[in-house]
Amino acid sequence: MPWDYSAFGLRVECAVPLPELSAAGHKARESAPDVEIIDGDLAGMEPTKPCAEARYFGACARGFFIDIPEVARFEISCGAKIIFWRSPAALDETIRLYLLGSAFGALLMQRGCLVLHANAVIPKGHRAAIMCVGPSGSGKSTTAVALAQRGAAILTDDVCVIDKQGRALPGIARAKLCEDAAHALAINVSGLPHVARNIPKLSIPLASRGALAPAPPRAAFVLEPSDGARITATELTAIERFTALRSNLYRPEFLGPLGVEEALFEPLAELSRTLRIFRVTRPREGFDIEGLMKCLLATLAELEHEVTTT
Amino acid sequence: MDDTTLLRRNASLISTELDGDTVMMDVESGAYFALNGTAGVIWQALEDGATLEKLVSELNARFEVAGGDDIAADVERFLRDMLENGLIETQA
Repeated sequence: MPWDYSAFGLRVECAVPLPELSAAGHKARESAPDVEIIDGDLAGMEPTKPCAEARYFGACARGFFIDIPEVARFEISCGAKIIFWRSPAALDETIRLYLLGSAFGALLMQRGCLVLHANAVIPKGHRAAIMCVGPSGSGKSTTAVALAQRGAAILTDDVCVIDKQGRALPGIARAKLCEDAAHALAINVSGLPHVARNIPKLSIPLASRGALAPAPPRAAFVLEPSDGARITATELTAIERFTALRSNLYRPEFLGPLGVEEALFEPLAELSRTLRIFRVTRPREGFDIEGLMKCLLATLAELEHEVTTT
Repeated sequence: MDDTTLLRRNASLISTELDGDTVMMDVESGAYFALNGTAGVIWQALEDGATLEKLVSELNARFEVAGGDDIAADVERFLRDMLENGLIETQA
């Protein structure tokens, strides 16, 4: 019997357990799965377009492959199927890290989804979501988890899918947080697993996805540690919004080999038209998480006020 | 390129408008470009192909600016820039 899960609005059937995902509801199990994940032999898989530089991903006969040495090889096809072929010594959690990250990301792109390297959080007392984007180490997950400690619901961490109605979808039921960030947020880290061996990030379990509905993002924040002394928020222009979203696409190097770059152009432009985006800078030293949250929530409150008064 | 060379958009570009500005993508190379307001107007005018002469007279009529020669120099510079970046092509 395969395991049954839901993530990003899809019913996922998998040959191995995926504890990071939420179990699918009983109702969902009556229909055919949207995504099937099975193990198989991919020894004979060849890239269709061998390229000069050795790359760990590319197009193959049945779709797209990702080859992580000493972990696993993945073949992703039709936005509906992932075959994984594990290396003998690989650990389950390491395989799952790539399966639920790069491989599932590629599958979502094959389905025509706009996949961003971002998180989406519904702050307490709000119906709309806010998104955080920014380079690794900019404080995205820390901000999301800190908001969750104050009653927010984390829709998704790290991989954010925007559907055709412009809504952020509930994703994987965990946040990835650095150990020092977890300590700063006074989280009891004993018993929390690392996302994989040798990766200094903890896996913070989130509430079951079943209770969450997709939510339109009202604002996105580009988090930027800076040399300035204060936390500032500056709204971006339309072209800047487009550039910010494009540079925060998830695994943008996959788009070309997947052949979806052209199809994503208009959805990306549409999100740039509707989503208000702010560049939020904070002092590099001494992460003032309280101040940062206050800034984001105050900006959101202003936007909501605009909506109710116009 | 001279006043009467027919210029056309590069067919592998897709473009869209964002708050009065234009963003475009070359589907062959994956490169992105952004054009601000006036540049976007020239881009629109190139939809069915146009010459420098025609573009200058259209812009002069539209914006009613004095000293058409200055506009011609600016438009020519911009067109050469777009030619160099492969956004437009000359047609014999």
